[in-house]
Order: sequence, then structure tokens, then C-alpha cells
Amino acid sequence: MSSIGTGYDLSVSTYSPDGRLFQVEYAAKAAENAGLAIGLKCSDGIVLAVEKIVQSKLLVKGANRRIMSLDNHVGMVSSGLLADGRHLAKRGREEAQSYRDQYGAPMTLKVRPDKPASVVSSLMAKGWSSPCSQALIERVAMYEHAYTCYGSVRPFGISTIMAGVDKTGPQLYVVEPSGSYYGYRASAVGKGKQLAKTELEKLDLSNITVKQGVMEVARIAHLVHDDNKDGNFELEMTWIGPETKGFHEHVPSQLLQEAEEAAKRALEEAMEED
Amino acid sequence: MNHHPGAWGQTLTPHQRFDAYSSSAPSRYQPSTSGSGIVGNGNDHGFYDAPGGNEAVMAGGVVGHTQQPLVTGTSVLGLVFADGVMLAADNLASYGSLARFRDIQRLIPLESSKHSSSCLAVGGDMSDFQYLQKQLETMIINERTQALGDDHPSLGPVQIYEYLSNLMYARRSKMDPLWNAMLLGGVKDGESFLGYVDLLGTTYTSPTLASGFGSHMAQPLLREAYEKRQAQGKSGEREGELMSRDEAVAVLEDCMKVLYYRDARSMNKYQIATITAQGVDISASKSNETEWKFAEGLRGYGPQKQ
Amino acid sequence: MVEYAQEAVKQGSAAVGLRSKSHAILLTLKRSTGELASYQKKLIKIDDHVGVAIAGLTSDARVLSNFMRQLAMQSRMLYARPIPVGRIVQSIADRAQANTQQYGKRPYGVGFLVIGKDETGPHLFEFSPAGITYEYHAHSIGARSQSAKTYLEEHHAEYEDCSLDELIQHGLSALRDTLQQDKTLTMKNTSIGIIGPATSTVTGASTSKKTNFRVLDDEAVEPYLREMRIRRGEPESGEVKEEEDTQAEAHESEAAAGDAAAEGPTAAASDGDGDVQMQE
Repeated sequence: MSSIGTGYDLSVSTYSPDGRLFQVEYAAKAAENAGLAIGLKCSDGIVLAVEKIVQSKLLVKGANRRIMSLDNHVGMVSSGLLADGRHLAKRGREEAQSYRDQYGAPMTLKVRPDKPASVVSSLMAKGWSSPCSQALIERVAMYEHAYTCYGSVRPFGISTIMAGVDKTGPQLYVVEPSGSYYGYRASAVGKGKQLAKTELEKLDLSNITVKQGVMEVARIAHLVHDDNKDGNFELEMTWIGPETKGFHEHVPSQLLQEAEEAAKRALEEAMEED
Repeated sequence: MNHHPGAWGQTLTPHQRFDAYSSSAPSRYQPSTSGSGIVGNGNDHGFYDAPGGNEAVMAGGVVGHTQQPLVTGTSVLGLVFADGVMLAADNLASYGSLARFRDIQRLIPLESSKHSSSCLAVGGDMSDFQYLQKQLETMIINERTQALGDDHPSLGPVQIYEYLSNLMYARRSKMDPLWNAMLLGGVKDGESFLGYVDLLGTTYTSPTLASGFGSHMAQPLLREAYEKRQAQGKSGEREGELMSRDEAVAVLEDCMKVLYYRDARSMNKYQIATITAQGVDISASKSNETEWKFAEGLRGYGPQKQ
Repeated sequence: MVEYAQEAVKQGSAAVGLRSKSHAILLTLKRSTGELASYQKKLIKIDDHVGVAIAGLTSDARVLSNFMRQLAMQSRMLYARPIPVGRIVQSIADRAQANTQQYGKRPYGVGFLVIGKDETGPHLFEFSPAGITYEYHAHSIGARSQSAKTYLEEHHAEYEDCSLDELIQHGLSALRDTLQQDKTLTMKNTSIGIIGPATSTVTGASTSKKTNFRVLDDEAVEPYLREMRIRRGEPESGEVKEEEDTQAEAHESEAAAGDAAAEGPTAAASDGDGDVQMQE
């Protein structure tokens, strides 16, 4: 970043001579050093998890939740500025609710046009909006993007995993502060995301179930976390699957406990082998 | 007595007061003189921004927001029993006197969780009912998304009832009521609740309730059964002061039968919702055995001469 | 910007909050700008079941607490439900967040400790200008709150099963640690906010049968301060008046502490507790 400190990074409405928007890149930085969040798309649902560093022993365990619901069937977790995450979730809820009000059905995360492109484009020529613009991810990403366009606002300092189960099946996306988004089978954002992603790649992602997913995600979270460097952490996990009847809910505490214990055992065994 | 929902909340004309059998519900509908907005004003609560307004009839200066119901459901019944509350409603939605839709479920289960469960039985205008259902669904999703953050128990029956009452009263105060009469039944922390709300925002609660025609025909039967059981419980003849599940079903079935005999807007196909701590169970549609031979002997109306 | 707003909270006088299984309490240190001025109130009742302690800009606090009152009333009107405590705190946090993201707005310069009781029991939350809330067993904000935190962390395992009296004593001890060396807690500068049943042996008769939010000021605080002094082995009546001089002399070994206590109210009145005087 050769242009740092030369005045090109003070506003999102200013490009640097080499065509970059530094404010947006700084926002992405804000997201990189916060607690790790993991999202996993399974064959029968999705799993979301977040690592919460315990900053004080006076904090109430199990309270201070980080994963949020946008609708019955959609969850999101972000890494970065907590309050920005809540702001985005609020917008996501409004989008999902407005879709329900207008169409009387749950919003899809991303519409994949099931009609030939020619049909879609002819509909759009008649004034129909693009099929994607009716999708939750698109709407939320557009909102985030708008915050990179004006000098009067700052971009969102968060990387967000949004996942849900809609009529097209399980879906998982990661939305960046720039407003760009990509679909994934599994992803991680925040501190240690590289290591987490490497571990996620080793899973059999096309066949894994949410129940197995919970175990794997817990294992990866414990593997990535460095107790000595980051101190204690609490693992929060939600899922959507056959067990929740399509609703976004917390993983039952008993199952979570089992998963965490298995994770710790697996880590110890791995240590002994080394 | 005109129990057509079109007559609910309306004062009788001198003519109607005189002619008790007058079947014509006065049409209060007046075409709007200016475009009424479909779009709300962005307020959080849908019912504060009801469409309508500006329908002052220029010539007479009379304001008339008031509508009439079109497709209607008839009375609904409710009864507190030992394990919770039961609600009953038939499957008919009438278009005037025409039995137009005969497979309509008028019992809607609301949020049920480990803390509470609630269910609504609705009579009156079916499109207003569907609107109402949407409002409640919005409220419940809202509650649920927030509960992920704090595990706070969802709204119990008393709270949903309060919301409904406010909604109905706010709309009637705009002179644009939702044309319904409904019963809300629920259980929270072992406490049963049963309450009535209607298009005027009138509210009352009781261990036995019925709306519309049922408030004349069924309520006395429900009350009699309820009080008899109370007395038996008190005197030690039978255990407990509330009806068992079977007894409650039997009373409701009897009431639905009586209503079917006497209410021309009813149908012999109905459902019973059982709301307990375990959740809401809505029965399959059922019918009662009926006996119409006596009709042969009736004189005084119809085609036959004495 | 947000960081500076959080500095404004640190300038405000200290507030301490604790929570047990049955109670949630707030303890605050009030300041006054001069001998002729009254002490600035630090505890605000939001609803029967919610109360807040503020640190920072009082005017910002008023805006936010009015908003909280509106939300609380709305919940009671619309649903006949006392608003869940976590949600009312989250609502002001969401409002505060908007002020951090938009040019031309400034973050709120006030921090809250919020106590309340709902269907899930008693709660203690912190709200900070960055738009973040945390739920705590015990916490402190404001000037020199770090000293209180140190005390609170030392005893962190005890609060859950505390009686109201013990909880208040822990709170007073923590609050006392935020004072400068020569200052002391007096019934003039100490306020206590309580939610939960009144079961006090210190005051003898219970102050209230209800569990609603209530504030103890002046004489009502004195029994707890006396209890604190007894436990610390200080002269029982901290605010030594002329006629009590004999009693003060009886505790010669602690004369220093007694003297400090004696000048308590006036000293605090003349120069606060030594902080930069903000218009709180």
C-alpha cells in the first residue's frame, strides 16, 4: 500500500492513483483480526459457529450471543465490528420481512434462474427486476456496497457468513465490506481463517450431514484456537437441519458439549502422535 | 335477530327493528372518491397504517370507511378443560348465503414452545382473517429471531391476546375494522387462557366462550356443562373441577351439532384444536350424525301448504 | 471518534453493578459542582423492572433513557409484557451504532450499566457508545472503574449466591476502591439502585415488599455504609458530627480514617472526588 498516509485513504469516495479504495481495504482489515467464524454447508442443512474470546471472567457464560437470525430459515455471523454486524442483520431482517409481506413466501438466499437466459432477459426488458435482485444475499450485499460509495458514511467493518435453507436447498455465502459476495460449500472469516479453511477443505463436503458437521466444526474451532496466545474461548454454534425442522436454532447444549469434548480428545491424540 | 356478519356492529334501521326477519344487511359500502393508498407509511406496526381514508362523500359530507364482509366464517367455540383449552370451528367460508368454500381451516396454531402454546379460532371476513394471520406470523418471526439472542420465552397467550385486542381496537377507532370475531386459547406455565376479541375491539375472557350465533346457541350449553362439572368436583362426586379431554370433546361436538341444526351459515364438518403444555393439536375434520326426519313435520315455511 | 466517546464515559464518576441469582444492584458515586449545588443524580428508572446508572454526558443519557422509556411503555401497551431487559439494551446499542457510521453525527458520550428483571431472571448489562452491549455478573464503568473491576474480579465466584446485603457490601467495597485516598463514601455521595425482593437484615425493616427498581439515597443508604464501616473496622458513624466526637476519639487507632470520613461530605462537595469536572 504505497499510497498510505498520502491522503488517498481518508474517504471512501477517493480512489488512490493505482485505483484502490483504501477505506474499503481498511474495513476488510478490521474483519481479519476478530474472532474466527465458520460456516459449513451440509447435504441436509447448514452449520454456523463463532469463537468468542472470553475477555473477562465477569461476563455471563452463554449470554452475549454473536450468531443472529434474519428469518426462520436464515442465519448469519460476522467477524469484525460487532455493532456493524447487528446493523447489517437488522437490514437483512427488514429485507426478508418485506419479501414475505409482498410475496407471502420465505425469501430465497440467491435465485438461480431456472428459466433460459433468453426468457429471463425478455422479462427484464418488460420491466421485471433481475431474478437475483429479489434474493436476500444480493439485497444485503447491495446495502453493504452502498456504504462504500459515499463520503458521508464508512464501510461496514465486517466479513459476514450468511447461510440458510430455502426451496433450492442449503445455501452459504460470504459477504465482504466491499459488497462483493461468493457462494461456498464451507468458509471461515476472522482470525485464523486460513488454517480453518485448509481443514474445511479436507472434509467430504458433498456428503457431510449437519450432525457430522457440528462435530467437525467444533474440532476445527478448537484446532485453530491458540489458548496460549488468545486466552480462553467460548464456542457458539447454530444450525438448520432435519433436527430443527428448517428453523435456525442453537445447537442443543448437550450436543455442543459432546462435540467440544470430542474435539479436545482429538486434539490431545494428535499432540501425542507428534 | 340478524346474525349475518354484515350486520355486526351496525345499528338497526327502524324498518329492521320492526321486521325481525329482514334478511337484507344494509350495504354501507360507498365507493371511494379519491385514491386510497395501498402503501403504508413505514410505521413498524402494520395496523397503524391501514389503507383507506379520504372516502368522504363530497355531496353529503358523510365519511364512510366502513365495509361489509364478503366471504365469511360463522361462529367459533372455546372451552377450558383439565389439561388446557379446546377451540372448535367448522370448515365453511360462505359467500353471502352460498356455501362457497368448504375446506377452510379456521383454527390457526400460533407459537408453541416449551414455555407456552397458543391457538386462534376466527370467524367473520376471511380476507381480514388472512391479513390477521400474516400480522401474527410477522410478530412471531420477529420474536423468534430475537430469541436466538437471549433465549427469552416467546409471547404467551395473554400477550398475543393483548396484541390482538390492540390491533382490533386501533382499526375500529380508524372506522376501518377488521371484520372478525375470534377466540384465543392458550397455555403458559400451566395456566390456561381463553379470551374473545371482535371487530369493535371488545374483549372478555371466560372459561367457556363462543362468538356470533354460538354466543346464543352454544354458550349456554358450554356453560351448563362447565358449571355442572365444577359442582361435581366441589362436592367430591368426581375428581377435579374441570372437564377431562373426552368430556370436553363431547360437549363441543354436541354444540357443533346444535349449531349445525340452527345456523344456516354452518356446515357439518369441523375441527377441534386442543391446546396443552405439549403444544397445539388440530384434529382432522369430522362430522356429527344428524337426524332430519322431523323436518317433514315442520309447517309454516317452505313450499308446502298446511 | 468512538474511542474519544469512550473517554467521555471514563470521565464520568464511577458506577458499579452486580447481579446474584435473585437480585441486580447498581451503586453510584454522585458528584456536585460546588457547595451550593446538589448532587447530580446518576440512577434513572426506566420501568418498574429496569433501571440504569449513567457515566458520561448526562444530556446524552437523557436522550437515550427517554428512548428506553418509550420502548418499555410500548412493550407494555402492545403486548402487556415488561420488555425483556436484553432487548431494551440492545435497542439503544443499535441506535448508538448508527451514530458511528454516518458523517455529521457524533457517537453518544455516555455509558450505561443497566439492571433489570424479566422472565429469565435478573440481569446486568453494560452499554457503551460504540454500540456494543455485554451481559455481566459484575461490572463497573466511569472514573477509576479499573480499581473496582479489580475488586470485582477477585470475588467473581461469590456473587451468584449472595444475599442482597452481601451483594451491596461487595458493591460498596468495589465503589470505595474507585475513590482517591483521602475520600470516603458518604450518604450524600452514594446511591444504590436495587431490583429484587427486599430482604435486608441491615436495615431491619424491609424498605419495600416489591421487587421493582428502587433507589436508596441519603438516610436510606446510611445503614449499609455503617455496616461497611463495621466490617472494615472503622468508626461506626462515618459522618462524625460534633456531638459524636467522643466516639471518634474512642477509636484513636483509626483516627485518620475517621477524620477523612468527617470531612467527607464537604470535601466531596468542594472538589468532587478529584476528577476533572465534566458537566455530567
